[in-house]
Order: sequence, then structure tokens, then C-alpha cells
Amino acid sequence: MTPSKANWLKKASITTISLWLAIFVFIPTLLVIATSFLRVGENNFVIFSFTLDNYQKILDPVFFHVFFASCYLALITTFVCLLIGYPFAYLLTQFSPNIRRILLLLVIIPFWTSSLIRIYAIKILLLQIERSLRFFYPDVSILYTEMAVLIGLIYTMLPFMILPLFSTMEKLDRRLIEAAQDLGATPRQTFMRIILPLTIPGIIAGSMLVFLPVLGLFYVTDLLGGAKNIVIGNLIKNQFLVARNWPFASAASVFVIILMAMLIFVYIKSINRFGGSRHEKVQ
Amino acid sequence: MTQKIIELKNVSKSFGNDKVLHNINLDISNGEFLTLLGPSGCGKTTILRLIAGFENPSDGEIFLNGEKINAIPANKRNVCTVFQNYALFPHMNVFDNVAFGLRIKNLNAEEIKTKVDAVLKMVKLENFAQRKPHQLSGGQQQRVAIARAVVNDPLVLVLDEPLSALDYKLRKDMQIELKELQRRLGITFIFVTHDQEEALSMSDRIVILNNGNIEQIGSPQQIYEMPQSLFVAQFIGEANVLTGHIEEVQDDFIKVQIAQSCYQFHYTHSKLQKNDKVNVILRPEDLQIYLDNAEKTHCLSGKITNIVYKGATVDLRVALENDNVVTISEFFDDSRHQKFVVNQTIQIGWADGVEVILHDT
Repeated sequence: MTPSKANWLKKASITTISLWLAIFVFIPTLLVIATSFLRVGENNFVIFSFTLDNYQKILDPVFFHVFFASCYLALITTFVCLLIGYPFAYLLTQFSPNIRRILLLLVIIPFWTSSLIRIYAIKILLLQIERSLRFFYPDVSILYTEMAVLIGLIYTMLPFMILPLFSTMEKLDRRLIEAAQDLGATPRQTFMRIILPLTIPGIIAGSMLVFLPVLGLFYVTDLLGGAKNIVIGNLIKNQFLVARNWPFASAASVFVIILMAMLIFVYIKSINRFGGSRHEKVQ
Repeated sequence: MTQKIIELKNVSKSFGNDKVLHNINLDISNGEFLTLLGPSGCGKTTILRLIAGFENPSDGEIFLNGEKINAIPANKRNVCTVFQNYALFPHMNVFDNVAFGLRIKNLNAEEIKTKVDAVLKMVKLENFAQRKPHQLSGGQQQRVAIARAVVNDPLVLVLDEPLSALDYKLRKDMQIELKELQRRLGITFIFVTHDQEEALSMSDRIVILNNGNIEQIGSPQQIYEMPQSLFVAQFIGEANVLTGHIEEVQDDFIKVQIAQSCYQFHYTHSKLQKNDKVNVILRPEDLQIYLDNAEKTHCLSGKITNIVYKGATVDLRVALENDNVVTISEFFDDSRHQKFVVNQTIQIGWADGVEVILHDT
């Protein structure tokens, strides 16, 4: 490719991506922020008059209850994903590179199907399990419980935990583990003092990638929880589509966006602290 | 000191179908500086990893201080390693890196501080205790790696090509420092390298490895001056190899036919017989060139093909009549060497006894 052609391609792709982001992310976000300061209208969804009422409503106990409930759900999901994902990612690194690639592909393949469809599949699966179990325990119920929601969330989010953990563990220098053993550390001490501290960036990245989306995954709670277990995503969806209160829904969205931005900020800071500087060697 | 600190008895190691060590027998004395030397893939690092406990031998036995350690894991062996790229813990500062082994042993904080400070002072890094490894130069990282190992008072310190990542000048300095450190500590050092110069200048004994076999064990001088195989002769230093066959064997000399000429060498071993093929090894610095064949008994004639001035020395490449090329290295002497030019026919001579005669197998 000639330099001018390459340059043209570069400009074209940057322009396309910028336009895409502007039209589908930046402008809608601005619209949401603007809407959050407006009043509800009878006919036209919004009335163009400035107010802070919508933000005041966020401080309402009802909203806060939903907010904490969804944070709680997100925390449990993150924790369980970490509990399953950490050893899983570690096991992955123990295989030879070829087998590793295949196993990693198996982790990624479910992404090829829409997660909504996969949640429907989980719903049917849970329904079957529930029916079978009822032969023995007539009172058992799985579907439309918090347990079902958790199963759905963990299933959906687990790869987001495994992939960043795997990538930090893969980069971990095997010789550091050998060095620790060499200096007398038992496997447990090696894990606690070397492996765990050095994989913290992966733990943080995985936790962010699980925690933040769970707050908004409304269809999982809708389908598996029977709309009883509400995450903040359900609330925003309902306010937009059912209650038609766009300004309040917008204010809630802005609140969640700010929260996520803050968490991402903390994440970037901690990455710099734990691992980022390793790559800039001063000679 | 003759006390054996490490013994390898008939040790073999295979990775799958790939046998990397064949029946290695090696005794290492307490307090010696032993170098494992060989080309890459010769098995030297595998021997090191067997001693450190990162690999288990497929066959044979390893003893540390008289105790069989085949089944003892690395963390229970009193052997410490300095890794090739140092393997310093990136999330810990220099002090914590060095203190790691002591903390594992649950020493109290005061004792740890005293020991770590002392060892950091020894490697001249007392002012760098709070730095992270990535803030140090290669040479400093190297010193931290050494400090982190020796602070644990190991019986044996194994070093896996520790100087290979350093630049030439620093490597020279570290060679001297390491040797001095070893003398001061009195610990056995097992040093792995593929750099023959490094091996010659630092070691008490050198083990030459090739394809998983020990080719020769000996002092640097023995290895250099009395190589037992063509491989050793060519691997250590430069060697001119002249091939020929035995014409005559007598009690104290043999006659060897090389190219069209016959040479007489002192030889009292009885291994060689008439018509055996032999390699005569001559080091470049043992050869001299002459304009005419004066009264020298050993003489080869040839044509100068190249003259390389190297400062203190000058290297001359000479093509012999049988097209073999011989390198001669002499101290540079302006008045003497200006007499020689490329394409000139000259004579090569050497003193009696500098040659090594090896049976060609």
C-alpha cells in the first residue's frame, strides 16, 4: 500500500469511528443529560423548563433501595465470578499454548449468540430442572427467584472475568514463581506474596467488567426474576418505556454514568499503581 | 577443600522423548567456583535446574552435603539461584526483594533489617533500598538478584548466565566482582555460561558440556592447554586444527604426516599407532611466522591471505599448501610486521610441546 493510500484509509476509518461515536454515543448522552434537567410533559414527554427535581428524586428512599439492591446483586455476581474465574484462568495458563487457545475459544464461543437468546435458553433449562426437582421436593422453586437471577448474571458475566484474569496470568513470569520457591516459599506463600499481588490488575479489570454491566442488565432480571428483582437498569427502562417519565429516567442514567466514570477512574489509577509502571524500564 | 558439597551420580534427564542429559557424573567441592560451559542446548541449564530443584532427574541421584535430595522440592533445599533475567519481584522494592527469603523463614524484623542492610552494603546498593526493580539499571538489578540469594546463607549458589544481559564493559567488571564475592563468602558457586572467556577468567574448575554429555572437567588451564577432544579445543579459544596421520611411533616421539611434510612430536602416551588419523591442535598465539625456514624443526609454509590489526596483537590468516587456513596471533611489532604483506609466501613455526595431538575418531 502506498503511504498516501494508507493515510487516506487511516483518515477514513478515524472519521467513521468518530462519527459513529458522535451520533450514537456522544449526542445521545448529551440529550440524556439535557433531558435530566427538564420537566415531565403530558403530551410531549418533556416540557422545556429547567428543574433539579429529577435529581432530588434520586435521593428518594425508593430509588436508593433499588440502587443498593442492584449494587448488592452486582457485588455478589462479581464475587462469585471471581471465585470461579480466578482458578479457571489459572488452570488455563497451565495448559500448553495450543490447548490454551482452544479452551479460550470455548470461553468466547457463547458470545457468538446474543446474550438475550442465551438467557431464554437458561430460562428453559431452569424450568426443566425445577420440574424434575419437584418430583422429589414439591415446594422447590428456582425460576423467578433471586437465585435464578444470580445464575443468569454469573453465566453471562463469567467470561468478562476470565479473560482479563487470563491475560494478566499469562504475562506473569514463571521465573518469579520459581524465584519465590527458590527462596523457600511454600506454594501457599508463593500464591499470597507473588501470584496474587501481581494479578491484582486482572482482578480489578475483571471485577469492573462484571460489576458495571450487571447494574444495567435489565433483561436478565426481567426474564429470570419475573421483574421482581429490580436492578437499576430495570428502573431506568421502566421509567423510559412504561412510566414515560423521561426526565427522571435521564437523571437516573446520569447518576449511573457518573458512578461508573468514578469507578473507571479508580481502576485506571490502581492499574498504574500495581502494574503499569513495570513496562517502562528505566535503564 | 575436598569435601563434596554436591554429587551427581549417573544423572539423566529427558523431556518427553528428548534426552537432554546422559549419565552425568559430577562432584562439586565445597567452596569452589565451578562453571558449566557449553553451547546452547548442551544441558547446562538443565543441570542447574536439577541442582536447584526445579526439575527432577529421570534417572540417577543427586546429593547435597551427603544427603540425597532427588525428592526434596526447591523451597526445602539450601540452594539459591540467581536467574538469567534476575526474576526480581516487580511489586516489591529492593529491600523487600532481598528480605523475601528471610521473611519466609519468619525471622524477626530487626534481624531481617540487619542482614538485609549488611548484604545491600556488600553489593553497594545501600542507597537504593527503597527503589523498585524497574528503577534500577541492569547491573544494579543483577546485584539485587545476587543479594537476594546470598542473604539466605545458602550452601550453594547457582547462577544461570547472570551476566548475559549486561553490556561488555559492565560484564567484565561484574566478572571480577562476582569472583571476589565468592572468595569472600566462601560459598560454592555453580555458574552457567556459554561465554568461554567468562568461564576461563572466573572458574576454579570448568565442566565442558556438549549434547548432554560431559566432554571434559578441569581447571581453566587444563581445559585450554590440554583439551581432550576436538570439541573442547575448538569451543575454548581459537584452535588451528591440522589433520594428518601417524608415520612412525617410537618410545618418546611420533612422526606425523601433515600435507606433504612429516613432523616429529614428543609423545609418550601409548594410545596412538602407526597409520592412525590424528588432529594436531595449535593455538594461534603459539605460532610464529618467518620469512624463511631458518633452523625451526616445525615448519609449515603458506601464503598470507589476510592481516588484521587488533591493537595489542595482529592476526594473520595463512593458507597452507593443502588449502587449510591457519590463524596466527602475534604481539604487534611495527618494525617486524611491516615486512609481511598479503599474498606473500611465509613459514610458520612453533615451539616444541605446544601442540596437542588428538586421535581422530
